[in-house]
Amino acid sequence: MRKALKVSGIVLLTITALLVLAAGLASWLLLSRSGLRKTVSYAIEKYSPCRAELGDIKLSITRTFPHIGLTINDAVAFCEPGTSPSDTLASIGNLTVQIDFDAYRNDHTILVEKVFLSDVSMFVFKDSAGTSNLDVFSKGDGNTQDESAASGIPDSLNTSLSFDLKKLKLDDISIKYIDNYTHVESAVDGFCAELSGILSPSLKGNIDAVFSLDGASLSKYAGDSLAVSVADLGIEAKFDAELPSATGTAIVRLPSASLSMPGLDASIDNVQLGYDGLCNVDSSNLDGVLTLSLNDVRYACESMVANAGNTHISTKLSGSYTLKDIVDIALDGSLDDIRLLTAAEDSISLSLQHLDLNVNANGNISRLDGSLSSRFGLQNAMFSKGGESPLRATATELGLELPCVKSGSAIDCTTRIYATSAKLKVKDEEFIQDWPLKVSIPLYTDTSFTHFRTEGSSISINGQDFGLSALCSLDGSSIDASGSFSFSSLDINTLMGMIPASFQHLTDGIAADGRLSLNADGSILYKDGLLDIRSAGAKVMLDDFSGSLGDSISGEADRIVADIDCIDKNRHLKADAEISGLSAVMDTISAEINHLNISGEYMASASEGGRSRLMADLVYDSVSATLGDRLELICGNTAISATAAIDTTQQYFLTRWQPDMSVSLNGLSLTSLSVPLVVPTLSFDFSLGQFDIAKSRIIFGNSDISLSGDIRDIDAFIEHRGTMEGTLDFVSEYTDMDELMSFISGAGREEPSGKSKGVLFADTIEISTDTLSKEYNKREPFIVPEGMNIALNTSIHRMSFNGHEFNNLGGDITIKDGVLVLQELGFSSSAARMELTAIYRTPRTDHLYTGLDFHLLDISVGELIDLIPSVDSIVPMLKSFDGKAQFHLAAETYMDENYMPKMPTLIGAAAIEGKDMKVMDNEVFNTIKKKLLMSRKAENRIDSLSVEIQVLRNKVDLYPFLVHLDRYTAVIGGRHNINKDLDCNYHISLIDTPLPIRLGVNIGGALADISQNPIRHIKLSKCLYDKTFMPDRKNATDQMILEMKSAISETLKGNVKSE
Amino acid sequence: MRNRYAVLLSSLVLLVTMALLAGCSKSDDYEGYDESLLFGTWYCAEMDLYYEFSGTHEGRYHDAAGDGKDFTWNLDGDVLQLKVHGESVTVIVFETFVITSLNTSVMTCYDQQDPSARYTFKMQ
Repeated sequence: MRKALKVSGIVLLTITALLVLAAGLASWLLLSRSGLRKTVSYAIEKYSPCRAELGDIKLSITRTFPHIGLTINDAVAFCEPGTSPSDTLASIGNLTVQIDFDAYRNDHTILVEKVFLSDVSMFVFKDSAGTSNLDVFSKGDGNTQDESAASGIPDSLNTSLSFDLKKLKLDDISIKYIDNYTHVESAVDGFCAELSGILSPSLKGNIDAVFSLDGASLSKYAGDSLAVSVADLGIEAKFDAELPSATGTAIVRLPSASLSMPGLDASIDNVQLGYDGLCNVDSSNLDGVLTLSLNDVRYACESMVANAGNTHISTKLSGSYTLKDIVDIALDGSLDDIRLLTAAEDSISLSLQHLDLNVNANGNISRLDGSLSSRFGLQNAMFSKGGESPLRATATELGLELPCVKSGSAIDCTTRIYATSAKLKVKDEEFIQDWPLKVSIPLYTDTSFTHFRTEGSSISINGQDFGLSALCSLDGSSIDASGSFSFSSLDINTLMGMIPASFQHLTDGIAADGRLSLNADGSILYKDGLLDIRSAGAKVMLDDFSGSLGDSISGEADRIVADIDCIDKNRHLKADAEISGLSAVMDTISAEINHLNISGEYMASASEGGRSRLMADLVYDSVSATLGDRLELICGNTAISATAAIDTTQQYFLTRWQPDMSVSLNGLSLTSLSVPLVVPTLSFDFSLGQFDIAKSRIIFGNSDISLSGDIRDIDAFIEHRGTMEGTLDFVSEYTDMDELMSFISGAGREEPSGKSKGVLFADTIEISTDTLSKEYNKREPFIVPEGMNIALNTSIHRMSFNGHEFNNLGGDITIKDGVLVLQELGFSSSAARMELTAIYRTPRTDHLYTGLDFHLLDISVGELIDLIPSVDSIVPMLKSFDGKAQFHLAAETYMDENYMPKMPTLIGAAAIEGKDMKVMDNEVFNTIKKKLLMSRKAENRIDSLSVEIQVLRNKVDLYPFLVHLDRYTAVIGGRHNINKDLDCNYHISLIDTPLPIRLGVNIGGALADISQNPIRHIKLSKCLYDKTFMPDRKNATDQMILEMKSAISETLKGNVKSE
Repeated sequence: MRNRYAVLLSSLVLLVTMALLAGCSKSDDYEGYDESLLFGTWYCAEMDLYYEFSGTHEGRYHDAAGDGKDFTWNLDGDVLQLKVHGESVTVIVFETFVITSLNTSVMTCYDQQDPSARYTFKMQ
């Protein structure tokens, strides 16, 4: 057995040795060095566009084992013969190719299966004219066959070249490129590549590819110089190819790369770009995952420095890498330590500690349709800006979502921003203080980006939510926009707390609480630099509002609703406010208003110089106000409707505003005054054309007054072009004149103490009476206006005055042509009938005229003295009489601005007439009539009494009058001077007595002295009026006196109208 | 003796009564003055007033500021009566002087209503 095996082995070895020997001999015969050179030279000459010199050519088996390869060492390719034939295009240290000898032997085809290329140096050059030494590769391939035929190469060497490449290995390839045309230099050093698999005629099967590069550089040395360099670039790829598609992985590693150009330096380290997936070359489709990671991206230019730390991005790609078809991209990534700093004056700094990315894109690129969903998560983000208003914004956690969909020409994009805690500082002032922030803005637009729309946008800051909707169209230089803005139930207290500290001083002392809601909308047109607000509206609601200003004013309201509407481009503004209830307190004053509705409307003039219009309506159910515990005002349902037409060309306030208003007031009461005031109803319409008081009822203390009527042509009066006409009816069921006069008495007058007395509210309002007094004392006298003709028709059913009651008082009060006239004011009382005419004119403020014509008819003497106490001073004996009398008074004077009479202008006259008047009490008279030697039948009555008094400047003259009682007759007359002592000089002539004598008595001296010691001032004298009333004995002087008495009396009585 | 005293007392009472009765009488003597002497403007220091008399029996009194009243006047013998009318109110008052002397430059008089009030007017 062992022998048999031994023999068998020897036989096999012998056969093998013989086969190897036979093959070697055959190769030697076919591929001798000279044969190889000829063959290679022929192939180069045939296929190479340039001249080449070959060094050593030999067969190789080591690199192509177990196949035999062809090795060419030290080959040199030269440039185009016509230009620089001696310049080297490339030098190849070693080229080894594995060739299929069967194909060569059978088909004279050089079929290359493997290529090993090493130590290659290539020089590419382009001159300033743009001619390159590579141009040889673009010339005359079609002539090679003819040229070969012409060169006389034997057919045995006429071969063809083809590739069935399974391995390609490049090692230490260096390329230098000089372009004098574009001034670019580029170099690649140490380029190595190794590809294995079925490489040609097309990639097929498992392909391994490894590329590496020691360094590469590109520089542009003229113009905008540029330098780009990379080092140690490595690319590894493993894929299964079935062209046109391939599936596998590829990784690009770049330890560092840099870009440098004037003013700009950029570098990037440790870049690793990987792809794992499918790539289809024909359809340019990708379907795989692209990953990118890098460290330390640095970018610096003159205006900005930017850095990014660790970055990792993973992208799922699906679609055409030529971006011509539908693509799906899912990108996840993260970036650390991103920093950006600009060097401009208003330097901007941006830093991010960490950024997470999540982007999903799906779209048809060719149609530019698709959707994009992107999310950004930022940690410790900071943005700052320098300059005059430095700004710094920070957010610990900031999220940004940006989903977008484009379909056709429509683009739907929603921006969402949320931050758990955001800060904003401007000039070191905190505007946002660690507040949570949420923003959501859905935006709809089109591919022309001329129309934008957002609906349902929301912004939430510190828990306060705001809503926004807007529509905007762009057309060249014009912007047409409309939108709405709203928020609901914002906490006012929180809002006020959000006011930056630098503005907090504006709210010093202001405290407010409640909930604020707003719905605002508007539209604008911005065109040619002009902004036209075409419409704007806002509805503001305050619920459960309470506020205060300092310690003195506070208010509360259940609900306040304000509706503001700017209707059209004519600036038609409308505003409505509804306040369910509002209470306010200021110091000791408190006020409350219920169910207040205010509406206003403003219409700007449609043309320049036209009239703008204002309209306002105010309605409230009730108003109450108190001033401490002293004054209380209550007003019931009130409606005020007012319009104004603004005419800026007018000079006067009222004509400029052209007010037209209608007022209806009910249930007004003002208590705790010295006289309570109640206005049950008041309604009037006011315009410059007509002021119409429809009805009014005023209860002032005990008085009940109703005023109605109209006043016309107010505008004509204001503009001094006409007369204001009017008639008012003053109707009163009862008027307490004492109360009215007491109320207004002393208004504006100053007491010696300097305190104001009798000011309407002085007893109830604790305000500076000194100030008030000064104001009143500065007050000019009442000046009767000119240009008006106003009549006040009075009708008072009952009036009380000075303890008397008067009935049916009536008359006219007119203001006409600068004269105030109380015309024939007549009335009757239990004591008398009365007529009064008074005139007041004001030619100058220091020259005031007043005239009075006053008649008391059928008045008892006692009541006359009660009504006019001064009568008692002038005619003291009058109070001794009792009975009916008539009193007539007429006077006039000019006064200064303090209403003090100018004595040279003062004149006046009075007449008192009485008949059958009782002198004294019956019992008393009966007691004394015997002592006075009167007759038994004597009665305490006088037949008649006729007293005439005149006032001339400071002299009051009592004309002699006759008193006859039984056997006594006396005449009394004299003078009373209005001077410091009020001295008088009266004379009594006792012209008829029971005794046969006539006595005269003078009573003279200062009034005060007479009162203290009457006897000392009574002196006997001769009778001055003994003949005055004796028709047969009177002289011319007596006659003159009687004529003067008669003239005065008749003149006065002639003024009585009712007789 | 008692009768003698009674007669004496009665005589004395009679004398006193006669004297009183005599005191009650008034002298009607007066001088008449030429009214043309009044024409012009007079100043009365006691009243600090100016009086203007015109030939139409109209006049005006006023103070230095011009405030005063218009009047009509009449001179009857030595009695100068001024009748002052109201401007807007129907009222008349009188001022009556009894002239005691009058020439072209000075007039003296007293007030008829109060003879103790004596005045001197000087022509301006």
